[in-house]
Amino acid sequence: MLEGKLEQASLFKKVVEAVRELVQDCNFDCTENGLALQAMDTSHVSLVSLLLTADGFSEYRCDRNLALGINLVSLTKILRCGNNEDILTLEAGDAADSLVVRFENTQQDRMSEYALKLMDIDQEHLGIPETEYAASITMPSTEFQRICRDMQSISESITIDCTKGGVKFTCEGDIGSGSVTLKPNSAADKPELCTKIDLSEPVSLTLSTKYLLNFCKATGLSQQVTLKLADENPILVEYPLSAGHLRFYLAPKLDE
Amino acid sequence: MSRLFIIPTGNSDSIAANAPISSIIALPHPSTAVPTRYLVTRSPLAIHELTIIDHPAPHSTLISPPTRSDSDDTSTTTATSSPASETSPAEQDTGAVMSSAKLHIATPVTPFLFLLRVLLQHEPQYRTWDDISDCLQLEAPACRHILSLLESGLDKVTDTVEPAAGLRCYRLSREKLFRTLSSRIARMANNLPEILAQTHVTNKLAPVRFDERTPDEMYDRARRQVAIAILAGYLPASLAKEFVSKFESEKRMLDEFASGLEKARAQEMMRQMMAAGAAGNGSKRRFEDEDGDETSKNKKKNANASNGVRKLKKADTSGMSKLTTFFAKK
Repeated sequence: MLEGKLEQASLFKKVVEAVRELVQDCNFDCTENGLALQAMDTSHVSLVSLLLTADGFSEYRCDRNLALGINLVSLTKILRCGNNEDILTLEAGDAADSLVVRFENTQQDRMSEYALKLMDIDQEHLGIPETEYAASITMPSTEFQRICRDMQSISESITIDCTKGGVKFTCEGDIGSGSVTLKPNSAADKPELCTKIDLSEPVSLTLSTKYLLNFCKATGLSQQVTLKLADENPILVEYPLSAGHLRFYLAPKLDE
Repeated sequence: MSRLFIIPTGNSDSIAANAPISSIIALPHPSTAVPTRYLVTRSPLAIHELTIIDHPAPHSTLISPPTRSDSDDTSTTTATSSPASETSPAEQDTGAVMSSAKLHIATPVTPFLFLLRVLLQHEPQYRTWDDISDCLQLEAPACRHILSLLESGLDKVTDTVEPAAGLRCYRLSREKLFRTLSSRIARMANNLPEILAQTHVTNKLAPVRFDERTPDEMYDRARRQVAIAILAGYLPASLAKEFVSKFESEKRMLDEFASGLEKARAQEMMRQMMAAGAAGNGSKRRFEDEDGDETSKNKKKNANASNGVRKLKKADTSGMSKLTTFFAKK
């Protein structure tokens, strides 16, 4: 039996809308620690990993581990039936064939309830090892989104070069080329606008613009995004949540 | 079988005399050399091109007996293709019914056009009319019926020399030919049939917006181009090309103007479509639905996938390894 209550529906809505841009169907794994999700895109070059810990819910209860197979487009349809400020409750029985989604408005005078049919999804999980990343860049998520957006019209891929002096995004396409360089900065009064670079050694990765742009759908979830890079390893793009995280991994483009 | 011909006025005298006034002969088409039937009237001697107008559904034609007023108006009358007419004068008086509704419209053709192919074959040489007419008859024996007519057209398209008294020799003069043709352009351009003017001039040059106006000179140019194209259709290929190229710059100006209009029209249409889309969701949805009809199968398959998922299917993943090479399966 799962029962989870979120004080604001908007968080769950945004999470689902970000994940559904990458994955069509996936299992929500419910444990006593919280709600987790791991899935790869159809090409298997990227992976999304979501964790909503039990602390993030105002009420949370999960007696037995459950895997809820869900079509994310269908789930979005149901989530759109509620307002952002509504209190959202997710409920599923142990052998349930549907997930119950309940909305309650803040005045507590309107309640709506929808049931989403579940599906059986045969999904394999990947073990993600602890990686020593050579560089970790934390920057405003809107800045990252802007760079990806600007560069998508120029090239299929973006190269991220990280050195002590800063991080440089470059692209090269048929029409020409472009680059954006960000230097570390700290605005004490506005931490959300800081750019922070932790570097053990210079690193450079070339990545698919379309995928990065796809990850940027999560921009609304967090004011800051962290990019973690290691040579010839998948990049980690992480959007921290108040209780949990939304992580994307993407395989780099290697010269063949 | 009777056939109904409509021939220009001026051929009325001979009809009144009830004599076999015309014959149909096969001549090589001035442009393509394909043997084509032409109507030759005797008085005055003239060559007519035949255009058959038929009705798609079966129809018959009623020819009513001539009344007094009809007999004065002889612009439309019947003529038979052979002297052995099936329609006797007596029958004509009482009228007749024809099982076919085909109308043969005869329009006069300038005779010199039929000389061009033969003249072109021996272009640099001066030749006597006897020589030329032999060649003509060799190509189409029926030419013997119209030799005098053809000879009369020689002056318009040839240079002549008289090497000996009473002996005239001719050769094709492109300059004269083009001058003769050019003199007809303006006359044709100002008398274009309505349907040609509509499709090639009015529609093509219609301004994009009501408050705009296409300059008159552009209309003139468009009319002239139609006339030039018609004339070129009666010339052998090499001459047609040379003739058309003489008006190249005029055509270019017109084409540029027309393509500018075309672009403006497309933009205007796009703008209107967008405006319609913005004005009401209903019409926008309709566009999408129409679009969807073609790919409805595809759409159904993808109905449960988001835009992002669909876009990623098209992403270039060359040089990218699968994540399973980095992360082991649990």
